[in-house]
Amino acid sequence: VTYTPPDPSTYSIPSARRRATIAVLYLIPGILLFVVLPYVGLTQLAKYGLSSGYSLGFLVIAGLSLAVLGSLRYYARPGRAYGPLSIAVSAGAVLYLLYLARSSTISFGIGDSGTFSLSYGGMLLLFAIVPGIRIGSGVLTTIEDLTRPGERLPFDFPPR
Amino acid sequence: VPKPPLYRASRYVSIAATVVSLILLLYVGATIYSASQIRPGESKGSNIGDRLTSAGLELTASINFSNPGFLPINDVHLASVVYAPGHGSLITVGASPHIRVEPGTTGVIPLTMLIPFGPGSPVIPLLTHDAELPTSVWANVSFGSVFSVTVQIPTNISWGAPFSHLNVSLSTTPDANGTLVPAAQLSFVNNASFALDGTLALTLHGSGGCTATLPDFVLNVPSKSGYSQSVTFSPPSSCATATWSTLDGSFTSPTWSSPLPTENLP
Repeated sequence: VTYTPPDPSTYSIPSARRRATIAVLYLIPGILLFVVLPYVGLTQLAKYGLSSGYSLGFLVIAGLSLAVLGSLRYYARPGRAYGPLSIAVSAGAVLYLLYLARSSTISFGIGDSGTFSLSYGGMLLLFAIVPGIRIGSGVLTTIEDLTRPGERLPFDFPPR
Repeated sequence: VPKPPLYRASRYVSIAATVVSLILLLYVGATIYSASQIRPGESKGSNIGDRLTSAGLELTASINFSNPGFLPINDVHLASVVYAPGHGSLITVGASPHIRVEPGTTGVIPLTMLIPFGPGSPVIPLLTHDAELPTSVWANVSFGSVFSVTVQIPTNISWGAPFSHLNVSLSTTPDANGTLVPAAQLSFVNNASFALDGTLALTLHGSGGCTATLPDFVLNVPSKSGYSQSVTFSPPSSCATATWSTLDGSFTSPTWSSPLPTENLP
């Protein structure tokens, strides 16, 4: 069976400029989630003398990378790079959460010389399941784009 | 136009991931809320007791762990370490079983520690000295697979020595014939939580390698009571003029036996 790509009249891909603008807007929630939230959390903890063992520099770089990858993914949605970028974003999020889970204990003193330690690695590992599942979605999209390029475009970008 | 199968599958997987993330958010939120309701140590208080066994002194602390939340606490576990004064040698360690506390119930977590008696026991030097023993207690609590809390509390265990302030005063006393013979007056206070019911054998060590064995003391000393008894003894004739400087001995009872630490004589 030979595959015939859909007629371009059956879909309407937004212009590169429009996608770029929206991709930049996509950066905002990404940076809030992956950079600002961990940064503010850690600096607030540091104010109370609580150290988490995370490298702030790593968190900023890894968070920015994830946010930028997420934006690129949106920009590349009409093309074949969308699937691999989806896999990259999800795999990056899994690795990011695994890194956070590795040293996920907060300790502080109580009383004269007691200590209280809270370990939340289990919670982060649980949340790593979500991007783990999304990798599957990226793999399916990659296979779809390799075997039947453009077939999904009428559904992702229906004509206006 | 029907959607392509791979495209549809990809969408379903993506939707499944979103549903899982919502379920996880609800689960984590519920776990945190449920955990915030926990009140360790409440509900009729907690009990600390001790019991004399053939293996040593068994200390038990029962800590009540009230879980008014709506999720079970998967694992509550206590552990403890007791050191000699000044964080010296390790006296004993203790642990509780891993207990699951169902929602709306109170779990009793028993922490057991055994302070061994007998030869080689690290507690022998403390048989004649009261002490505050530095102790660390850890409470480990796991909530679902979400997070765990470890609380470490340093404290002290007050150790009451069974032969506290052990002392032997040497003197001479006239016998039936009016001859002066050596005499020893033994005194101590039983500050332990248990009675002493057995036999105490003491040996004096002196100059020139001299030793003299005192007659056995048969003890029946209740807890928190003093004891004083005088005996006469007969050192070897070659040690008639020896200077007695140290004392050691052993206690034997049906329940427990132990050597005593070497004590200097006044």
